[in-house]
Amino acid sequence: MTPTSIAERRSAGDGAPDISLDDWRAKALAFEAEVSRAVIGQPHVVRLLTIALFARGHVLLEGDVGVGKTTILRAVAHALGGPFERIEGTVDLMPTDMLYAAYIDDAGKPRVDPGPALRHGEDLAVFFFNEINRARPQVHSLLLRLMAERSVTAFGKDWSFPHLVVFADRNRVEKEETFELPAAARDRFLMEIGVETPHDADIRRELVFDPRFHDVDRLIGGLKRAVLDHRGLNEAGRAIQTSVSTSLTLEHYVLALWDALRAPARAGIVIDGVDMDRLILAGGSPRGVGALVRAARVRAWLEGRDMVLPEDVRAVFAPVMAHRIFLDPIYEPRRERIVRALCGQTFDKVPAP
Amino acid sequence: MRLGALKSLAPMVAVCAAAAWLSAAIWTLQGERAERAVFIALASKRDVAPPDDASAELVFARAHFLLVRDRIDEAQSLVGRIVGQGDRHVTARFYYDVGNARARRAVGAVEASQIDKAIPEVRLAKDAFRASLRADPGLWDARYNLDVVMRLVRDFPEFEGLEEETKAQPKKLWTDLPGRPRGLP
Amino acid sequence: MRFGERAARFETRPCGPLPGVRSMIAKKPCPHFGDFADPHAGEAAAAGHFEARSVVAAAALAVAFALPAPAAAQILDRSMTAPQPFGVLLGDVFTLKTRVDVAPPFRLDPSALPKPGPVTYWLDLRSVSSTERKGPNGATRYEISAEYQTFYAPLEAIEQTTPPMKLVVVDDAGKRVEADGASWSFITSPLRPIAATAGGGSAYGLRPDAAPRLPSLRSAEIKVAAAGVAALLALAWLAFARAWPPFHKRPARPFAAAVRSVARAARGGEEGWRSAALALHRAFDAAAGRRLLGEDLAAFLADRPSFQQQDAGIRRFFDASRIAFFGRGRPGADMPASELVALSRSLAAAERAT
Repeated sequence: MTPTSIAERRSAGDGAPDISLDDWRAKALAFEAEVSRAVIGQPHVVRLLTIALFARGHVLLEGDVGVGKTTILRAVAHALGGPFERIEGTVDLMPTDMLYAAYIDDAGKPRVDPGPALRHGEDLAVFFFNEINRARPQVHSLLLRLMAERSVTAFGKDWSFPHLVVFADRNRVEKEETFELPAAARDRFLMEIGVETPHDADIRRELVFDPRFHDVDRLIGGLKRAVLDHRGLNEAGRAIQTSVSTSLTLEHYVLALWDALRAPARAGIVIDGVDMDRLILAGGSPRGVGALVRAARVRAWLEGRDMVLPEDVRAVFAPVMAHRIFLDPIYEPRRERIVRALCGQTFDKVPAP
Repeated sequence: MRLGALKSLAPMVAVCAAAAWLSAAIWTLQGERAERAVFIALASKRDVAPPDDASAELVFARAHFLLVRDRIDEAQSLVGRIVGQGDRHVTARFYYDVGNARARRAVGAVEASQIDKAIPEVRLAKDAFRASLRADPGLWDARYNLDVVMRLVRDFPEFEGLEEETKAQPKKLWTDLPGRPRGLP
Repeated sequence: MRFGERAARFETRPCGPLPGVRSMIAKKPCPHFGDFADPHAGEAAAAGHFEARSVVAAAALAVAFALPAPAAAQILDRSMTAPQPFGVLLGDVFTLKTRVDVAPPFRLDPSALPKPGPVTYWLDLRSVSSTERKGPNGATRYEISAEYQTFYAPLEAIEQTTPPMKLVVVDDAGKRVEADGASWSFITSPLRPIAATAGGGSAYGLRPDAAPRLPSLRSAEIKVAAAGVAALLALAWLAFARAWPPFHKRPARPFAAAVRSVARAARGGEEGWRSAALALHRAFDAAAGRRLLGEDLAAFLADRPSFQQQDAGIRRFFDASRIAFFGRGRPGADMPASELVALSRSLAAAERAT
């Protein structure tokens, strides 16, 4: 890291927008610190969520029941500020339930008001879809459009949500009465972050015995609101993408990683009990690799660098790429272990620089 | 860290030690080759003087070469170079050969009926065989030949007296030997 | 061969009389002492003496001295051990061991012991030594070991007697007491029959000369071969330790291999710097067992104490490499190629120390 940095090159006028990325970084770090007050023992989850916010991507949180997925998302939404809406996924949830709220009013007449997605208008900052795998595919497809285009059609007009970020969570315990997300929907999520119980014994003790963590509403309410301005995130994200450079070497490196995912056998990756030649059905889409670079840039910027390093790519690789790898069905039951080994070995085998 | 330094230094030290050993061994082998060449020259009846640092065995080979040619005085001048090296087997064989050479002279004199010449030679032969047996009691040929020369003088009864004299003055044992350098044992 | 060795199995057999045959044996071939220097004159007395001491004599080849009166107060006990007293040949070596108990304050005068050299015209004293230890009744026990060689050439089996050894004890006041040690009689036999001497010329038949032995080069050659093998092994060890060819592909010595490619590549300008840095990166990868990125350095160094001395250099290299490969800096601007080579050298040295 050289002291010549983002500010200098911005003033050199290479087309970067006229905002202070250094200020934004300070805010981003403050945001992380604020969220971390409510979410302890999960610094990398908070960091990844921050990266996702600045990379303008949607996030799927995955984890066991009660590890704090919802708390994390609520804390993020609170610290981010801006309108926040939340919906619970259920089997009988229909797409219209997200858009319209139908009820009988005081006068006994049926009325239709804007539903959860539209209630805050086009300024909606965070849409939080709880237990997404309980919702039906029809709901998934609506969500797909909301995520991909940040727009829906309702009341006969198009609604656009330029500042919207979709957070979803999914518990991986239950498989009954659930609907697996289609590949296209999963590909729209920038990251799929696994949330696990903290390993550190002190933190676990604190989580269990400190009364502060028993009342989630108060915990979240105690955080500072709107540390980040959600309206500025789009512009900041664009500025980050243009100001953080990737060298030719890094581009080759990312392509080599991608190749390794698509043809692990050729990269020399070997996983116990797995036929590497037939393991992979699809090893990451171009959109996925693009997302990888986007996230890596944000990560480099958060680390205070103006160049992307292999470390940045590695830090965001598993969350960004893992859910875009499609395995041969016979390996799907062991997916978690195999994909983790695959990602780990990819970085062990592909030379950097 | 100290162990690590030792580990990285050890192969170099081993190479140096092995190289030193190898050069010493080659040096020794070359020396022995040169000695062997002198041996072979002597065995093929060429009179070659051994080098100054020759081993006792090589000096003995030269002495043997001289003794079988009855050049006893020249051979006896080598005594210091053989005895001084402390190999008692070579010393014993050297004295044994000296004794044999003396005994041959004595027998020759007896057969030529020159008894006066024979007596001192017998005495010297006995002394040489005794010196040989002192150095190596296991040299049975020396015992046998000492027995032979002992009987040689028994044939001359007057020798008994002479023998008593030598016994009384053992330190002067060698003074009768012509050409023997003084100051050596 | 020494006589003593030949006779070794006789050493412990008592020379003293066995019951029943005592009088026959006791006559001559036993040690006898100054008092009975003439074996013929003292025969009867000797027999009586042996009878009196038969228990002691049967127990070991040891016979007590008969003490002369003046020494009685100082020399408490004397005995001698000798080999078997027959079959002694010309040139044989035998050892006579005399044990003397001396009453304090007297002690044996070692300077009065006989000096090695001719004793009589047919007998040589080859060596003499004495040891001292505590004896019974507060006495000092001396063991005097004298090695003789006989040059007596008998015509027939004949008895010979060694002269007695003179023992001198002194006290601090300078008082000297002399006593005779034991003498030993033995039967010495001829090597050849007398008849041979009557045969004329054959009587002078000498054993042939001792011919010089052509020295064998074998042992020297074996030593050279062994030293050569050792040198080769040491060289191989060195090559193995430093990953020289043919061990240059040794997996445990990635930096040693890197030194060569770094040194070769570092001369080639910016492109050379890049390939040198890449070679060094590959060496780090090999050392770590995976691709090592800058962020992993702390963990990497924590596991490898021998590399910690190069900590600063390694970090400098990773920073320079980042800027060269991923930033916009020129390769080698932050870390000249010579430093790259120096770093790889010291890393190779550190690697040998792990």
